[in-house]
Amino acid sequence: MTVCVEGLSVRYGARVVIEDLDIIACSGALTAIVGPNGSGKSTLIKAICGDLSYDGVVTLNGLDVASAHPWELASQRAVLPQASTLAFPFHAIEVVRIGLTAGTGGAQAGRAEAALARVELAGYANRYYQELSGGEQQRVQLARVLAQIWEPCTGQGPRWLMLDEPVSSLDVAHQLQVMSIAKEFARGGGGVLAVMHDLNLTGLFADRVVVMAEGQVLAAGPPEEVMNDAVLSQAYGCALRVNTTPHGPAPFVLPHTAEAHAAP
Amino acid sequence: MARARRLHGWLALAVVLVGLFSLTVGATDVALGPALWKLATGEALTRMEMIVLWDIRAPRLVLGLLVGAALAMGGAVMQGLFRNPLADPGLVGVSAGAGLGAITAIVLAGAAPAWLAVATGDHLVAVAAFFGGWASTLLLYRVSTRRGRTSVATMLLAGIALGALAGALSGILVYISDDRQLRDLTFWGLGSLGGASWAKVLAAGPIILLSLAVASALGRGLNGLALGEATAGHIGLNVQWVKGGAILTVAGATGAAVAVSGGIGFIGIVVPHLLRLSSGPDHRPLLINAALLGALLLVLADVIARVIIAPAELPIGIVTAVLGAPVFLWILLRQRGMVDL
Ligand SMILES: Nc1ncnc2c1ncn2[C@@H]1O[C@H](COP(=O)(O)OP(=O)(O)OP(=O)(O)O)[C@@H](O)[C@H]1O
Ligand SMILES: [Mg+2]
Repeated sequence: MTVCVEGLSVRYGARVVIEDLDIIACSGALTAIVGPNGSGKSTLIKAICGDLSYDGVVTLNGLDVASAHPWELASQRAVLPQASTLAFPFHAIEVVRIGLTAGTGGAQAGRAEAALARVELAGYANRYYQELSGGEQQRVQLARVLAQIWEPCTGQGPRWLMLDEPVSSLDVAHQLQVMSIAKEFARGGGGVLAVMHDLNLTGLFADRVVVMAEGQVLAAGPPEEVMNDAVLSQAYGCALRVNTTPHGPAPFVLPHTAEAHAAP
Repeated sequence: MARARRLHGWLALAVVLVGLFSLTVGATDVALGPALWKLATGEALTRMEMIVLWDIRAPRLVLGLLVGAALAMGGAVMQGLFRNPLADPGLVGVSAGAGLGAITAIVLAGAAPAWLAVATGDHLVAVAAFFGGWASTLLLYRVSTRRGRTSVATMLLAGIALGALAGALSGILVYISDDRQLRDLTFWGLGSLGGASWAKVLAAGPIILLSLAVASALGRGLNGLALGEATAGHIGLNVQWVKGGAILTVAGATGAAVAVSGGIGFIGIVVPHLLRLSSGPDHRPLLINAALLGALLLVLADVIARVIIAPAELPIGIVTAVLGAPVFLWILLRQRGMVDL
């Protein structure tokens, strides 16, 4: 099963942000979307989640996203937005439960607690969300997302995690932990689409990488193919040099190389 | 959550007790106990008891319960919709429109066609207030809805503009009114349950009860909205249904409440706040608790209004403002960090 985007165009007012874009993401794999600020990554995720009106066709497990009911989509995919807000002083556990009460239905008891434990916040259930640190808040939101589609694969097919910069405010240990959770979800048969800024984590965890620039796909494929000097330098507009570790094929990029190139 | 659920029972009990108490209070000296005893034993009530208890105090009690529940639940729904603890039902334009309708009826009643006076009986002011409230809400809803999506922020701003316009029109009417009309509309603005009758209960009751029933089903949707509109959609809610349902039920409940009781402030803001402080922000128990506590406080305020300068009575809006405004200020002081948008 797939997320399939064909001929997608999105405009905000008169401004075209994404034009005639095609991508396919398969379940069982972690697909990373990388690209510079403003290249349209979040917009792409929003279109796939049915938040925006767009031209073109987007399907999720064969379901047409534009015409599907919110509750149909909610049972098949969960979304971690780039930024979250919360009105009213809810406890962390209540935030996770709000994700459960709507949509999927038939949730098992203890699911919310398990989801918080999964992101290592078991002891934070009765803390006020607003009184958590930025990274802790982001992990509570991830717990909410995980709780919504707990099993990666059900009788109806795979489910999808849509993560817009899931590790942007996490420390290095929790970055690794969250990426492992996403990877495990994909190994369990689910699909993961993750917008990433950290190229090293992308190289380490992604099964497929889509490089975006100016609302278009610049390159797509396995990380060792796509993440090369030419593509990344063109996408980000600065000279980047890609290396690989001695232990495996995972590419890594040090900002030092661009720095060295920039300084005369 | 469990605590909020337990509160249902306690509040319901308190409503019953305060309700019975309110039946014993009034300008004339009619006791409730003997009357109930007579009812129980099948003995006939005196004519005096009949009039005071059944025709005066009972409809006033029922109207107070309905109006209090409508205003408080309306406040809770608006706060959830606008994601802001300071929102109140006035934000959907219903108060401004109802006020303008009432003032128009008071000042221009003499010029109204005869059939209108016949059709509405002596309830012209209430009918005009109700339709004024609805008309302005529908106008606001139209202005802020594009392609099936209502912008809550647009609604807020348009509501301010509409409020100013209604205020200006009211000002013109005030300017041309005579002294007696001026006194009438001042008193209308202060709110009162004094004119309660079974006719008013029958007119406002079904609208308020229907709105309350719909609103009590909005808890899940409003909880979702607390996470933002986009996320509310992601977890499977039909956001536009929640918004439309919230706006229409609040307009219905508040419109009917304002029509029969005039301007009664602070119940809508203070009640949901107190409940959130005591038992958390989950809207599912909150909406029901708000209706119960609103009914309780309004009946209590009405009792105070009736006894404090007996045999005359104070407009109830003065009582709710005198008690409610300090509570409101105290909440603002306490929560300075929490009401940031
Ligand atoms: N609501 C909006 N209205 C108008 N323009 C918008 C809106 N949202 C985004 N844009 C524009 O669309 C373009 C793509 O934005 P998008 O949020 O998709 O970028 P992004 O790739 O996610 O960037 P980042 O890495 O900074 O998150 C940007 O130029 C942005 O200015
Ligand atoms: Mg983004």
